[in-house]
Amino acid sequence: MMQHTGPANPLTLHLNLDAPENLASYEQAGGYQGFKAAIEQTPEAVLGTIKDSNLRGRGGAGFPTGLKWSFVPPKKDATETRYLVVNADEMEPGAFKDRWLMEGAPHQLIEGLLIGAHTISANVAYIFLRNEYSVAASRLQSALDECYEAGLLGKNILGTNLCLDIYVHTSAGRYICGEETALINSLEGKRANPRAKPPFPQVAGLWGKPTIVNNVETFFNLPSIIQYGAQWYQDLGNHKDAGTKIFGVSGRVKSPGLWELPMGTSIREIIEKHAGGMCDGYQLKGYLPGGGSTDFLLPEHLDTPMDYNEIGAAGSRMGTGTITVLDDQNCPVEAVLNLVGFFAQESCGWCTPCRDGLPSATYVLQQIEQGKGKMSDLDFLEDICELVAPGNTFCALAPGAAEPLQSGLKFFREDFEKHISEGCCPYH
Amino acid sequence: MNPITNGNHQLIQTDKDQQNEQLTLEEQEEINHLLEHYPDPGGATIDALKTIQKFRGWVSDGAISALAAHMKLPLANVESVATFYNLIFRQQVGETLVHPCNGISCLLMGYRDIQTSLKQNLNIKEGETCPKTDITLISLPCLGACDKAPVMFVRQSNRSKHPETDSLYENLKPEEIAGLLKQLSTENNNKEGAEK
Repeated sequence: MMQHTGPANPLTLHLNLDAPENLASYEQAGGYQGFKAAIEQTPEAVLGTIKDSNLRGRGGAGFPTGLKWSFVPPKKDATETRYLVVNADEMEPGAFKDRWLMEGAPHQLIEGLLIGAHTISANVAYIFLRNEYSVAASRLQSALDECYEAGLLGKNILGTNLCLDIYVHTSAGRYICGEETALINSLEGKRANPRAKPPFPQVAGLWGKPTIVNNVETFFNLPSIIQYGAQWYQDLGNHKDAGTKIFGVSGRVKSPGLWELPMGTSIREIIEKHAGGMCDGYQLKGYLPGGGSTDFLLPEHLDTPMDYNEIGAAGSRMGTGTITVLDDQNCPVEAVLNLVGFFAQESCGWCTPCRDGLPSATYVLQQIEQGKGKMSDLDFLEDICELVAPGNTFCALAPGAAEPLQSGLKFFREDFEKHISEGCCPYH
Repeated sequence: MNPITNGNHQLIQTDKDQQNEQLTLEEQEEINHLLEHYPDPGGATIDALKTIQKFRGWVSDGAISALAAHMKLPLANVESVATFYNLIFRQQVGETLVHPCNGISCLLMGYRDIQTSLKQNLNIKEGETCPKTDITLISLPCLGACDKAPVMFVRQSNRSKHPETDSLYENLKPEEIAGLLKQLSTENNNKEGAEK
């Protein structure tokens, strides 16, 4: 029954940024086959395939998707509402993959949601979209309208018991909404402060009902996993992690962009081959492997495979898989200041280490960048990193802010010291 | 901050005035439609605030109070949401919003020069509105177009005849800013001309 051969690029198979496929052309190109295969199986069987595929959440944390979904309790009665939420509030500094996927293949996201709805018996889904992504919003809405008309959404989809309504919810701009419990508060019309866990959203999420929140790219993976099977998906990876991933590079490289590549592709291959290497006259100084909340890595780490555990062992995180390169003419202090300043601004203010620690760090970094820093400021910044370490804060925002700060202090210490000893920024 | 004032229009309202403000039928209709998407009226709060903003350009105290009454929500709930998000404006902004991206990739690729050029050409500070062109400058965090850095998001609204038009300017150079601003303010003037 299961085919072991399938496409090498399941995420971008249908991608067309100039004119995304409409329902008819998406179906003609094999779209909705994954969903049709799913509804012929029991939800348990579909969940089993997702578990066996080793798909890990593509939002940044890399939590196994099948395991996350298995925590949803059995349905109490047929009328119980359950929610699926797409985290499409892409605001991680340096991340630009979800916009690309949604603008290029809106139907693939809907197909992923339909598979999810069948698996956890959800009947309502919200696409929590960033306000500025207006192109994605209108393309998704047209795709949704087509699906309603064709009976792929609404009541008794394709003659089955499955009912699903999908709404596009555009947010109003706050990074903290990417944290899943803060996102749930935001959807309920509250300030987007994170919630205490437990209870976990799978048990009591949106309006107290079982809720699954996953990233756009995670849902994009589902149709082909169901269509071609877990083994095929696992075999796509180059290293230990399964499947393909959207990797990207921005900064002063010859051809910045996004590519679908096997998990485990080396950072060197992504930067040097796909992004064409550094622009002439610029040297690679360091890079953030997966967005603003990941630790800097150095040229010596270039041969690390982009694999959740391998990047972790190198001292950083895979994050969103979109690499930002720092060249030898960029000031690392200014880069760290920009990132920490962003997190300070975006703190929801709920817990003290984040609300007070990040603005203090931002102020001290500003002083250093302006040539008014003291050597003791570096110790102060290290103290702040400890203050906002995991376990001391309510959510992952402040620990994320500490990642570029602590690694910046470690790897670019000379630059920080030069700012202080010379009393000015050597780069500006 | 220097909000545009319409002649002698009083910006500071008394509580009594605040409660006198009402939603238009058009606003009510759109908000009622949004309420259908959620099992609880609270869910529609952000959408409703954006609806108000679409028609009025910004969200005043009076509008919050009218909205809370219409949605049967506590005033404090609506206010707490209205003050939380970057893109809900609690004071007047221009009909054209220019949002250069200050995310990490745009910073590394030249955001500072773009921002400086915008400030100089409009003769305003960050967060202010240029009275001549009705353009407001607000830098935004990473706009998710890092491979085309530096980028700028522009939202133009024409309050009597929406919808808003959004555009994203990519691979910007500081020397392009003056021409771009001229084009944006002419588009504004043309729209006003068409209304009359």
